[in-house]
Amino acid sequence: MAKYILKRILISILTIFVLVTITFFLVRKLPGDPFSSEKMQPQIKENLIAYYGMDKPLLQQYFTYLNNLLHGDLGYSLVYRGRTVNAILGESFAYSADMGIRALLFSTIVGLLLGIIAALRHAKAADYACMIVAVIGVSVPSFIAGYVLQYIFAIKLEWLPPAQWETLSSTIMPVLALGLGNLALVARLMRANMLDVVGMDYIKTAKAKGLSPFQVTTRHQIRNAILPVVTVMGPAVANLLTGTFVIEKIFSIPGMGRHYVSSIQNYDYTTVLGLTVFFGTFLVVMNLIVDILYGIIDPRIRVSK
Amino acid sequence: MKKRLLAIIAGLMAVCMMLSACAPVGSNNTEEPSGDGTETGDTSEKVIRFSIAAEPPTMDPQIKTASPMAAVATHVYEGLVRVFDGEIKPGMAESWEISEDGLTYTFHIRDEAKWSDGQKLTANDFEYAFHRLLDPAVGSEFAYLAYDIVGAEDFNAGTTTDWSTVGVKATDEQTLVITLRNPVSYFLSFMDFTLYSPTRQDMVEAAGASYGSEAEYQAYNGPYVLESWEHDSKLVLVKNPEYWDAENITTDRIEVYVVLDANTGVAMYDAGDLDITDVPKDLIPAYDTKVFSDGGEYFIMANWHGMTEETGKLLSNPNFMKAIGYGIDRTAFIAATLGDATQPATRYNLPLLNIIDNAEGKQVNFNENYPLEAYPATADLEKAQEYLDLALEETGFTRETMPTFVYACRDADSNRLMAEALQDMLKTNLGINIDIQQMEYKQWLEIINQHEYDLTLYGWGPDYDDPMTYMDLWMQKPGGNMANYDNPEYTELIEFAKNTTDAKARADALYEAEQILLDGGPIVPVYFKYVAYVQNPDIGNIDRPFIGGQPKCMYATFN
Amino acid sequence: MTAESMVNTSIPAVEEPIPKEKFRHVGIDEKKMQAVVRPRTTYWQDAWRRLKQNRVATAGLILLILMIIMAIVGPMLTPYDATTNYLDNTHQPMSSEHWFGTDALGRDIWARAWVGARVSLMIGFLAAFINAFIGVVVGGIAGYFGGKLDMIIMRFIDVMISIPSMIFIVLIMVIVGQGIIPIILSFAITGWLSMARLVRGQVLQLKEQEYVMVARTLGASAGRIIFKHLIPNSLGVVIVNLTMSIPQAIFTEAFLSLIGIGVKPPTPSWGLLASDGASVLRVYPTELIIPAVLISVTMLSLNLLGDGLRDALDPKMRK
Repeated sequence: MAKYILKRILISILTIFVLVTITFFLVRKLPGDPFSSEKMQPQIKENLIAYYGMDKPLLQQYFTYLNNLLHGDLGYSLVYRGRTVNAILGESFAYSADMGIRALLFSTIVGLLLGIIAALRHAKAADYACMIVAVIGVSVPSFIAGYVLQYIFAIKLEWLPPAQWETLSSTIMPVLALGLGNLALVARLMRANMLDVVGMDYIKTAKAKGLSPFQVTTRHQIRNAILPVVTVMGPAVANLLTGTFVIEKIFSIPGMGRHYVSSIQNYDYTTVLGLTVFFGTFLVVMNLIVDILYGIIDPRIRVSK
Repeated sequence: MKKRLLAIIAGLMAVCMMLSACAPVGSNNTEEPSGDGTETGDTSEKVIRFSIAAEPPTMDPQIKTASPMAAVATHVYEGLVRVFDGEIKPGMAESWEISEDGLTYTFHIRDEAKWSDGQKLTANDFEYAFHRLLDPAVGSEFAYLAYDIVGAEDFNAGTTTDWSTVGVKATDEQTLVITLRNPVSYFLSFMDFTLYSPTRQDMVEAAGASYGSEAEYQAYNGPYVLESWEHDSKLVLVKNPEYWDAENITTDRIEVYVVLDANTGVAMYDAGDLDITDVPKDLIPAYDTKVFSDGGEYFIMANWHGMTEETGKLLSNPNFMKAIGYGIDRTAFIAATLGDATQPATRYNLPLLNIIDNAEGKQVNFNENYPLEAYPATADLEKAQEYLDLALEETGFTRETMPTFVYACRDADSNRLMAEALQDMLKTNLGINIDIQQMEYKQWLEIINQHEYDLTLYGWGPDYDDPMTYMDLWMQKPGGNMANYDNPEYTELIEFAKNTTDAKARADALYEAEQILLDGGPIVPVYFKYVAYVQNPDIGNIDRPFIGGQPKCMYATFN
Repeated sequence: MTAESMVNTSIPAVEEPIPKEKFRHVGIDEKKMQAVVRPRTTYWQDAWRRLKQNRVATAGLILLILMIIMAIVGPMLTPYDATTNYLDNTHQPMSSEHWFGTDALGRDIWARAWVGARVSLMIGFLAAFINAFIGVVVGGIAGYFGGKLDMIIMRFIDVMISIPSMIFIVLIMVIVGQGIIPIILSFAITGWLSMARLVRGQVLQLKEQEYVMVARTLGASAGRIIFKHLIPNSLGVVIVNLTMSIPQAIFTEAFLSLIGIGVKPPTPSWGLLASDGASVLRVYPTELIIPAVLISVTMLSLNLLGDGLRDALDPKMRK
């Protein structure tokens, strides 16, 4: 197992390296350059290109970048003069992660509850009610949900502050808008799994042993149904925690999502690369954890093969 | 199996906990709500909160002049002079003399000038700032604005590294002498720009490449000190006790919020979280709005050479451009896409621009004294058809064989809507077909620089209060100007205006050049942008100059 | 020896209690020899039958078909077209003249909504099918061959998922220009990744099943096993995921419209209508509500259909 993990870590590093290489050359293929603006003068642009060391051959810049990356240095942003990409990522991730974790906790807990209730009351009114909530959740794009929530609760009813990420009440709408999709996903998955599990032999055995229906449900049914939900959470965690541009824009939250869009719009090469490395590492680590967990949970999948 | 599951769930929980531990932002703020003092009834402190539409790229005064940055910089820095309500007042300089030939400016720095950390502010801090501005290694984006100073262009281009060749000298601690290569009538008002505000060498050297990126790296010499800067979110300015005129500064605290979505800004205003914010067009009727001009003049720009020979032939035909000019209904266009605050542009120069056209050096409004109406505010279809017929006759096309023009449209704001409205107007009114290509901002700029477009909607904001800031755009230059406009007569007039000391002749030359430009030049003016905004009715005396448009809150009055 | 002669010779002529004329010669139908009592239903017929029994899924299907029909005929039901401006008639509320009202340029929203439906549905369906195709092939190969190849493909997918897709979109628009095709193309570059993962997982499971081992023992080629056994058996998952990825594509197009690089103006799309509507939500709420409802109803119908399909295609549920 240790050997397998070591091998996977090495491969993960290689993956990140390939990712950096592709992205590095890809962003440079974008037409135009980071320094252009309506008022840019040729002489000034030359000075700026020299300032950022972009007058050197591309390959040399690439190796410089790799070398810095090895030291954990993602370089300076080309737009926010003097700010390091490390600082930009660090500060904005704090907000995104805060929002993402709240959304994740909220959506997972409520989603699981809805799923369980729906499964236990299969084909009854409660089931349909839960599933309507779930289906609406996946059917409404988060930006529409964001605008509509803000319109109703902040502008019309004035119950909640319209924007900013400050008081607890100001976090409610963004977390709702962000979590809705995941909530629906979890609820539907949980319901389906619960219904799947109910016919399994071990449930019958448990019943035969004389366990109360409550014990059967909690100890066997829910516990076994929850596993596939946990495994699909990997990408969901990565996506929720790294920010969402539209929600951040609507609710004026200084998270990471805006940088995904603005860094590409501004051709802020270093920030694009920094975000990509960050997200890539996040994802690769998540996948690694999920794969290793799989190996531990399910001996039938021999990962070391 | 079960135990393993429990362990996994526990593990995941632990990961979540760890991650939330890394994210203290939300929880910290929960305990101390924002705007301490503003809502808790502390009436003694006077606070103004306004929004900016983007994160300031830097607080380094010499690097950029982006408008979100200027909104903060004008409060925390001060140049030699300060302009408020269009009036030039002494700033760091107590007084100044201008030589007879208008080439030498001698500024006397005031005795009591100090930095926010208590250090004395000297003329050397100004000389250092100019050095930084022009040093090619610093890479200032707006260094070219100082090219009127003797030797500045060569120094910035790196052709000389000898600073003594540049016409900026601190002759003693309190005297700064600036020498120009040609007389610049608006030079004094220029000195209000944060680009030219003094800079502390020791602070720059201590912060290194990070200078300007956080609140604590700079020393401030303006009425306020940047107390905190939460990136992408909020900047807090507090009164600078060391400021020479601190007793006349009325506002104690300014909070600047970064709000990307204007609708959100208005919602925050409604909730009492903001005092000043821009209002998007459809909300204008619902609010008691004020308007300011950010100096933006927007025009349809044609690529004089065209993307193909065919389109070039038409686009460089004066009558064709006039047909477009008469064929668009500016009033209806503005009402549908921009809102009523914006004004139709019937000529090129912004109505607010001033010029000095007399020996006394008094500024007068340019458009009032040099009136021109090149195009009507609404469409004149008869004339448009006439000009189109003429153009077709001259170029040998018919209405059927007219080529389709590529219209480059940038991504942001209402640009798509405006492009669609123009497309429909040109098609219905003139039978001209345009093909809209919408693209990212940087790509759009590249396409314009490479002249790979036929038509586009382009905007230009002023750098200083004089028509020249718009007019020198269309001079011939190596590689061609943006529109590939190639008119020696026009270039000659602008060159003349740049070098003459005769104020009247200069104004006349600019006037003539504008008429040439609009008589078949590559541009068709469409609108002068005015922005509607709401302001807390209890607050008054906030200046929004059309150069930049940022609110100047230091002398505000409170009810 | 033919079947005919066999029959003739095998019938013995004993006494003659029944006159020979009463017999009719029927011969032997080779096909009928295999006949089973119950009418044979294929997997697909069975799935279709079960889908029809599922009322919720049927409702989803009907809604979706309605949406497609409206996308085709909707714009023809009004005399207004989707792009002509009427600047003196902007932001009209819903009325008998303009059923959905008019937008900022006085364009009829009914016409725009259904022309937008064509664009959005086309993007959604085409992108989803292209993604499914690439995803199934790549995922199938990775899952079947496993080992190093699998590792390489999966890491490649990690890399592709991590590169911001906006870069691809901008680059493709530079090369191909703006329009529906470049949007579909750029979705195709990144959209197949999750499908490939899913199919790979499915194939990993299936390839250990007995019937695959039998096929392999009998000497079937890898291609035959992948395309005849593994992929058809993972189709259930694929189709369900397909119905989910159509909304994904429509959402993504909406996002692109929001940041200003969506479909080529003046063509409307639902995403574009929604992003226009969002900016005037406070004053003209219907301009957001209409596209939002259309998007949501389509998503809803696809989700309901997807759920139904999952049940219908699940072999375990086959009776």
